[in-house]
Amino acid sequence: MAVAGNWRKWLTLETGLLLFAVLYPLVPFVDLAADAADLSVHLDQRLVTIFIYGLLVVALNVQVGYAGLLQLGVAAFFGIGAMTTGVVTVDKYPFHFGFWGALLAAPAVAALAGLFIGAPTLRLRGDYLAIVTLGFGEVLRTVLVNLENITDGPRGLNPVAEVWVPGFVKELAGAGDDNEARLLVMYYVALLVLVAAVVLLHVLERTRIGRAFVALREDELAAACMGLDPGRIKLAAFAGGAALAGLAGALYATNLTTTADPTNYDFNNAIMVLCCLILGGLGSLRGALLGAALLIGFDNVLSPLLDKGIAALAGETQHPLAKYSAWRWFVFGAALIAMMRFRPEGLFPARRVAQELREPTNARAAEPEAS
Amino acid sequence: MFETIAQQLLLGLTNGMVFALVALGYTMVYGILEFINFAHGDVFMLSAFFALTLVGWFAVPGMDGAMLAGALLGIVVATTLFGAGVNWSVDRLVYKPLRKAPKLAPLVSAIGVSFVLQNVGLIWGALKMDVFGGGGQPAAPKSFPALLPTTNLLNSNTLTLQVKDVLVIAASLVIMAGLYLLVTRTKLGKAMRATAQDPQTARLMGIDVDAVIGATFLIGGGLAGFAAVVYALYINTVYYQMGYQNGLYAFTAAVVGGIGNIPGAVLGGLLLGLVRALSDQFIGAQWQPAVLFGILILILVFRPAGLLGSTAREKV
Amino acid sequence: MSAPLLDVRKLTLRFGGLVAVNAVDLQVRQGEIAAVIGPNGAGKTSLFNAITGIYEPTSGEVLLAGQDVRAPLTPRVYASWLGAGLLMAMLAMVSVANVDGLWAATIKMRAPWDFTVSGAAVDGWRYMSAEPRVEPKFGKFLVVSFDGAQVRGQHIVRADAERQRDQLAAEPADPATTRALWFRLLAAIGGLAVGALGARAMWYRNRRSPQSVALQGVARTFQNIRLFHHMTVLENVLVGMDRHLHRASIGRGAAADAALAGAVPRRGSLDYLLPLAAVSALTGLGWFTGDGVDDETAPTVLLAVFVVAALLWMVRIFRNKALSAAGCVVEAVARQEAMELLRFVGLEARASDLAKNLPYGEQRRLEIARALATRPKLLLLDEPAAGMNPAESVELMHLIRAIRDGGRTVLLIEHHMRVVMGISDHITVLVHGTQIAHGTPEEIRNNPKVIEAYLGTEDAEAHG
Repeated sequence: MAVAGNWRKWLTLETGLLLFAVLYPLVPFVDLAADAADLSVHLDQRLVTIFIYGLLVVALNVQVGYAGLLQLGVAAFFGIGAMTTGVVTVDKYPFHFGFWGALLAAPAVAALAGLFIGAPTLRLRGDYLAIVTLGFGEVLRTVLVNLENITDGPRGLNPVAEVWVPGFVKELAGAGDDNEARLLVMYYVALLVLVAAVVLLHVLERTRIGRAFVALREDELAAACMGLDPGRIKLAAFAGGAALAGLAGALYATNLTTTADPTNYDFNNAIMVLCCLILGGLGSLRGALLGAALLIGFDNVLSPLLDKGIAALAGETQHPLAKYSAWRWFVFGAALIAMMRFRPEGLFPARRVAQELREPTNARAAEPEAS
Repeated sequence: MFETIAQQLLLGLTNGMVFALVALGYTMVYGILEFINFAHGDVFMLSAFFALTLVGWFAVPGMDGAMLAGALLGIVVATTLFGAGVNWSVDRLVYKPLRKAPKLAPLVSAIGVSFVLQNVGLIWGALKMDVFGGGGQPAAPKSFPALLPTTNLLNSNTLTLQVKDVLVIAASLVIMAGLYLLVTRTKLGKAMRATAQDPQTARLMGIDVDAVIGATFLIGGGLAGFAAVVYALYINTVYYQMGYQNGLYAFTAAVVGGIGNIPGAVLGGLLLGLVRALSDQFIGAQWQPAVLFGILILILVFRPAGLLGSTAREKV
Repeated sequence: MSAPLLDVRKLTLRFGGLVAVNAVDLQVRQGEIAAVIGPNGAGKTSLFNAITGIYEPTSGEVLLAGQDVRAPLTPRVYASWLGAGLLMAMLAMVSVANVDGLWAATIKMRAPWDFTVSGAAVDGWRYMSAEPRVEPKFGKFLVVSFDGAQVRGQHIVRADAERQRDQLAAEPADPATTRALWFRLLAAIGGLAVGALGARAMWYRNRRSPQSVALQGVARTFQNIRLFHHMTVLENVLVGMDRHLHRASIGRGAAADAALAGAVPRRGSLDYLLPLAAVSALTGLGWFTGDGVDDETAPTVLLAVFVVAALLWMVRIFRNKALSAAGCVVEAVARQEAMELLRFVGLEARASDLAKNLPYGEQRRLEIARALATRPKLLLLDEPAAGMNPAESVELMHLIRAIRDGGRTVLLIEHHMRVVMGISDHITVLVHGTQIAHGTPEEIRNNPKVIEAYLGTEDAEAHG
């Protein structure tokens, strides 16, 4: 069959990673290793975080990478998704949509918010847009913190509806207890959503919408003179990216079973996501995913290990700087600077964006001699 | 009611002066390089830490009279130089190699610098000095000793105009007037304006564009350093994230006034300070970011070039 | 006689003190090749920019086939302003009335199982009109004033509380309540104003936009070539075709059928059946053995198979199916058309090269192909022969004639006098933004004013 016929074509980095991700929770000894390293949380839960951030980075990629809109408010849409999930699923509100309902509602609400913030800012140039979206993020965080009656403030809404899959039986997964079963389902659902989003965008890149994004990024005026409506395309990017970020928010809240403290959706978070995208490579799906894996993986898996290592070396000092997390933003900031200086296209760049970023701004097609 | 509003307007005026000083740094850099120096707010923050360190180092709170005034003057000068130096070094080290890169590169780098500087601030807060509370809690706000006299100049119980208010406003006005003279009357100012209009042509006319950019960063950083001392003396709190929030407000002020426009930055700063004071009083301090950024969004919808700016046309 | 295709009336464009275009009149009829000439800085490109909606003229108008190119002020536009205004009014009113309190009064007030939409609507109305309302607390019911302060005692039975609430509502309202209501009204009016005016401001700013002019059938090239440099030649043309890329544009006929047949790959039904079978088998297994399995490894392996199959299935379905459904067919047809256009301008051999790698003359032709891809009625060419050698110029003249013969109208700016004189039906001469002459090439050649304007520079211009 087709699968067997050209199996070599399937043997790529992506399928390899996908297979690893799919099979990973089924291999028990990895977690045993984690236990040995004395990590309090199992690695697969950290992987879920990576999937969720991967989705978030892919979402940001739609706006920054495809459409070239430097958007610093991605965390706000993430937060809207999470909060929507909380509101429509918690017991104390009368909506009770359940997990799958929330998975539809969260991106819808986030997309609406994207349109709402996108519409008045369409004419703004890059850096102005960055500031407005940043401001929007700040406004949203303020609103979430202050509307305590709705959001429960810093405590967050909980418990958010549990993830479930039709026909899933706990014993089938070979999981010991309820919690472990929930984690396992969460793992696969997050993976599935991520893969679906990536495949969707992969297709999108090759359609007229993807082409319109590139045209807009390269020369907005020329694109407009060809009849492309820059406003509409930007709005599409805004709404689409926001919807994906909202989806990530829904998964995040479900995974934590709470909408958590609104400061989780602040500017630092947006920068972290931007870091992932720039590290991986603007405009490249593979880059976005690997960037998320590297950075969030580093932050979530390696940095606790680092902290432990430092503690083991230096003894149990209580000095506030004697741990990696005190230097975290230093590392991120320096990484951003270094990337922009030495490899602005990221580690796994999209061919086209790489050329655009490598080329000095004034090296467009040589002007003719004055005629 | 009247007294409340008057008091808030006064507070807004003083705060607005600080915003305006920081906004000037944003606007000058933007005018020349068309790039938002995200890290500018953090230069402001580091300067405040520097001033606090000096205060602790020389045991300033123990002084009085002429000694105190002299020490304060020294701290102001030293911090201004410090801010200028930090801003200039950041430009040389980070932004200069990216002059010809697409606009995204310096902007993202500036975000990176902002985070690095914030982390530096966090580490600085861990110094084992009394003024830093022994350094045990780097992230906690540090209190900056109240060194300025707080005598009420008005003969009123409800309305206060302290000596420190007057000092802050007067000092800021002097600095702004100096900047205005510098930009309009000196050769450097002329070179800066020429570079802002058209760097290519300015270069052809024999202006050392790099030196002008360097001078811009020096002046902007100096203003931030000066503003930091003023802010610390006035608000009496210093913490590592103060640059982020105040920087954003100052940037908003620059945009409101029309970015790239020096009087615009001052106007925007004052307006923003006043709005902030009034909204804190009548809407609630917890809604402060929402109100200020709401204004930013409104301005950009109705008058994208700001109050005093003019729209630039794209060359086709 | 019908209206000219392009009718520029008294168009003036002023930048600060500089008058770039001064009361220019220009008519181009269907099927003509017209030219605008003039020394450098005469305002020719500014005129193009004003026609194509990049610049807003200071005064004067641009008509296309008798219609103003600006978007008309239809009732729908008014409705959209009103809509934006109402949305903002609602937001402003709700935020002044305190969203948090409104939420508490409508959603949180009753237990989830007691919640009804109509009840919430009534409660919301009461809250917004600052009437007292009944709130449950610890199994009792309180009558609460609009700002949440308790006003009347506790009742075990809801009906008692509601009776008391109605009594209270009948009493005259206190000044604080009235003030709050006025404030809400004020906020609503303000929101309405901000929303409607904002929408209006944005509409006016976008009233004459390059894209709307382009959609009305005007395409252009640029003096300083503005291709999408990092896209391939073919992609550049496809961007130009974007507005025609939908299913309806394929049409019927043998070519369309062939394209359809070629674009959708045939696939075996096993591709669908296999994962489906796996899913159903596993689901069935799960249901049957759900309570009786104590073997731990078998289900684990089965689950893995299920997930792998499902993922592969999704990837395949999306990749192939979605590609064809979401426009692959249209794409295939569009690619053929784009290739034809490239053949027309002589670039078919370079279809897959990056635009920036083309030599200069070919970039100019690619820009023409990209503009033609929008199927324009009127094609504006801004110095198409700039930087071309004589042989290329001759080719270009043939190309422009062929475009005209294809039923399109051409207006060009050009300095090459041989090109201008050779192909134009009529010529307009601009000097310092002002029109000094208009006529056939023969008339222009002999016009003393034109000769004066060009005196001494004609040689340089003609060979530049």
